[in-house]
Amino acid sequence: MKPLVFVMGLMLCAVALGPTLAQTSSEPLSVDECLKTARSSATDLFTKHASPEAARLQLEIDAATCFDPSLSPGAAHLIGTVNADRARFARDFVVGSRSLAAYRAVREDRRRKLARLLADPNAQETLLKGDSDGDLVADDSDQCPNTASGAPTDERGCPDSISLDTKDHRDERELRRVLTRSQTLYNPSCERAPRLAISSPLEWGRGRQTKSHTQGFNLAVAKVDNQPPGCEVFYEIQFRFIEPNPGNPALPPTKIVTIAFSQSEDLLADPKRAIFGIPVGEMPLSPARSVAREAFLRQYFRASWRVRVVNGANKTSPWSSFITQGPASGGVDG
Amino acid sequence: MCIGGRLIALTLGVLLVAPLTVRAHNESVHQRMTDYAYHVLLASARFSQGGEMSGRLRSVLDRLKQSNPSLTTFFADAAVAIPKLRALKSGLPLDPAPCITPALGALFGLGSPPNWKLPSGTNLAEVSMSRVRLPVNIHYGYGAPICMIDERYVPSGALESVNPGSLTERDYTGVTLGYWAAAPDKETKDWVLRSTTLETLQNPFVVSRIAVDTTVAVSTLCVLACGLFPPACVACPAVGIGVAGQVVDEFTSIDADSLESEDYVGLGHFIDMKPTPADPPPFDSKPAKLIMRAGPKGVPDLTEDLVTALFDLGGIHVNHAKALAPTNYQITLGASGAMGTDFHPNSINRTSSQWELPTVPHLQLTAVDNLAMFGYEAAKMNRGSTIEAKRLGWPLHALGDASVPMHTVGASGYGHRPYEDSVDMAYDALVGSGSMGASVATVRDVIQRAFKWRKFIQDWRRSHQTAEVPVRDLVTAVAKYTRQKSDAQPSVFQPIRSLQYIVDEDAATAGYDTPAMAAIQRDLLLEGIAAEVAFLMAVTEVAP
Repeated sequence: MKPLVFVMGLMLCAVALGPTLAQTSSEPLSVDECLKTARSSATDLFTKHASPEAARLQLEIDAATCFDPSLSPGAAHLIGTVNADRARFARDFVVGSRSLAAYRAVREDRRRKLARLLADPNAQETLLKGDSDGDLVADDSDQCPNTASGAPTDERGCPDSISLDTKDHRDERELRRVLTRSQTLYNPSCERAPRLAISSPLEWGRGRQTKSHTQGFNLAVAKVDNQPPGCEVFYEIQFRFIEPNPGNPALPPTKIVTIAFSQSEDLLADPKRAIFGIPVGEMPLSPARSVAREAFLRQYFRASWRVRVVNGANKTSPWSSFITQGPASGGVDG
Repeated sequence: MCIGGRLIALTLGVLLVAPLTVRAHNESVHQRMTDYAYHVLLASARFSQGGEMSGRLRSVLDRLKQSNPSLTTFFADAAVAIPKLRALKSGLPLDPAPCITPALGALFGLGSPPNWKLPSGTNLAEVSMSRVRLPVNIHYGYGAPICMIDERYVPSGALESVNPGSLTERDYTGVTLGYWAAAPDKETKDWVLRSTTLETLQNPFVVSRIAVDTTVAVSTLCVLACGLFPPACVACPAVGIGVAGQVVDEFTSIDADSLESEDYVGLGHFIDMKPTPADPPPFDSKPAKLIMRAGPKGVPDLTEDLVTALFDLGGIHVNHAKALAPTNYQITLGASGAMGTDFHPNSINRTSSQWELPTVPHLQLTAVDNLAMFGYEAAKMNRGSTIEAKRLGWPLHALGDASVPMHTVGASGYGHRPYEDSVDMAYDALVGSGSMGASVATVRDVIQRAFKWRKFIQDWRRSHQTAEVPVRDLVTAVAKYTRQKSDAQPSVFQPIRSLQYIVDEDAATAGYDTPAMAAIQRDLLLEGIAAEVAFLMAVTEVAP
């Protein structure tokens, strides 16, 4: 818990000195140091039960001053407010409480207002005196002072309508579907793992699968072993099968499929090569492996393939280069 | 360990690794384009000098010359360029990774690193291209566990006849130049970013019920929902979350002010060929990526929306003090108001705060023609050094990027990655490597196009009375061609494919793996290669 103690210390410093240190010290803080202070200050606010939004707003205003200590308080407040707004709108959009159309509209609203206000220091100062509904139209000129949070407005501060068309609805549906379906990996042991080494495809072909007492198609790739104990590694292998058997005219000219293997499925104990098997026979397989097995069997004479590695912290290596080859003439045993 | 590992592997097909599609993923295409361009020069040189080549290739070049006698000079100029390119210092690092395949093991001993047979007292970076005896692939020198020597390398199709020999006997100037043409995609220092708030960067499952050593699949939505502040984590029923103090405890372990990733490198690899609106004003003659204007019609797609949301959520800004791109790719070659060696006005220089105040999605980035110009000038400044070849990779890379439709409209979405993956997969077929007939047709096509670009450069030199290379004009002209061609076939831009790519890369890429797409991919690929041919020829003519 030493880091926590350190952070607490930073917080105390932040409370004592405040984020304006960058402006007042004879030896100005670097941006990094200034931001550290700003973060601590925001964390302090949060732990003292300020709302997440209030803490973020303070953080962004302080950060603006860190990036440009010469900013007037009005300009820093404006830029910080817009950056905090953008974060809030982004979060609402991602979790689904703000529609895509509304997100796009409010992004544009903030872009337009920021550009106008940045050119008008007097308006910045006026805004600083009060903008109770947070629409970037100062209270003293806001003709609709109670606009709903995050609603785009016109110059008078009154809500603009958000136009929707069928494309917006379609995009929204598609986006939510993807976000719902997508998953990411998590394994605490991978938290501080080093950058993943790059693997490489070596050869593929028929062979024994000793570990599982089966026969099938084996894929040999360069093994990646630079991850800490307990941090599981996965190999994603992408095939583009080409040169279909002319005796099987039903085959499409190319077939793309990606299959993934856990390191625990490695058929070998070789320090440099990992071999993964796709058994033939009636054994049920995952959809992607079934597609690959079908392609191997029915059959394509050659394939371009590549590999990359993913760990349990959701970090990936770059893809290897594609190599194009047919099955290894001597087979590939595992 | 690995409880449930098999289960995870089975579901990995729908794994979202990261919906950041700003990264270029076609490094190996860059390498192969440049290698092809070099071989076209080599074939031209051999033809000019009566050297050996396949009968079909010679016959095609003969017919080309008969139909366009001006090509005689082109071929002769290629013969002058080749020895100069081969004399460049390789600049290659020495990578000690062992070779484990039987073919390489037979050459060097199994488990040994490559034997470069270096002259006594020299290192690999110092030797000339002509003495590089092995073909490196794009990952060579970047920490791979095995040696990244491409033992299957052969020049494309008919071009093998101008560069024959066994693995250790060929001329690898093209491969090595191609290695450097791919290198800008690995310049992680170009865009060093920082986060005002760390929440979205650190895994939010700080105090979780997940056992150590166990990998589980969790909803990406949960990761994003947790991202900003812990209360949002109610969306993650399976995962506990710490109180704020514990979150901060974990956050101290990463450096939020120096975020480097190959995912960010490509941010400066765009040139937006759409008409430039006055607001916001551009900082160069041609603007680069600005997410709010992304896409063929200036309307960001869903992928850009997601990228914007992630960057805004994380408060991701450029770290001006550490990022190289703002300094390197703002081009100020002359004194105030003067022109650079390519007669372009200086970039409008932005202050550090102009770079840092907006989050990245709301920032105009630097354009890829500037990246090209930086590399060209750096190569000239380092003539004869081990850096020269590397820096020549920058303009070559820019020409490759300019031949990709999405790079010319500032789009990370609109099918960007599926398009590039598809070209990568189908590269051999696109250039006709597999058949002599298709291959010589491709060589003929590339030479005709290269001649056009050669004339472009020569006309520019005449009109400006200089021997320099119009690097930015060349990149822009290739991008213009790409834009025109892709405008004529709007199905090139498929916004749904980028979103689909997040959960099903194969289906998204297959959307571009069609005969109609192959036709335009080939057209644009050959145009890019041809421009590289002209550039390589021209750059050897620049006086020291």
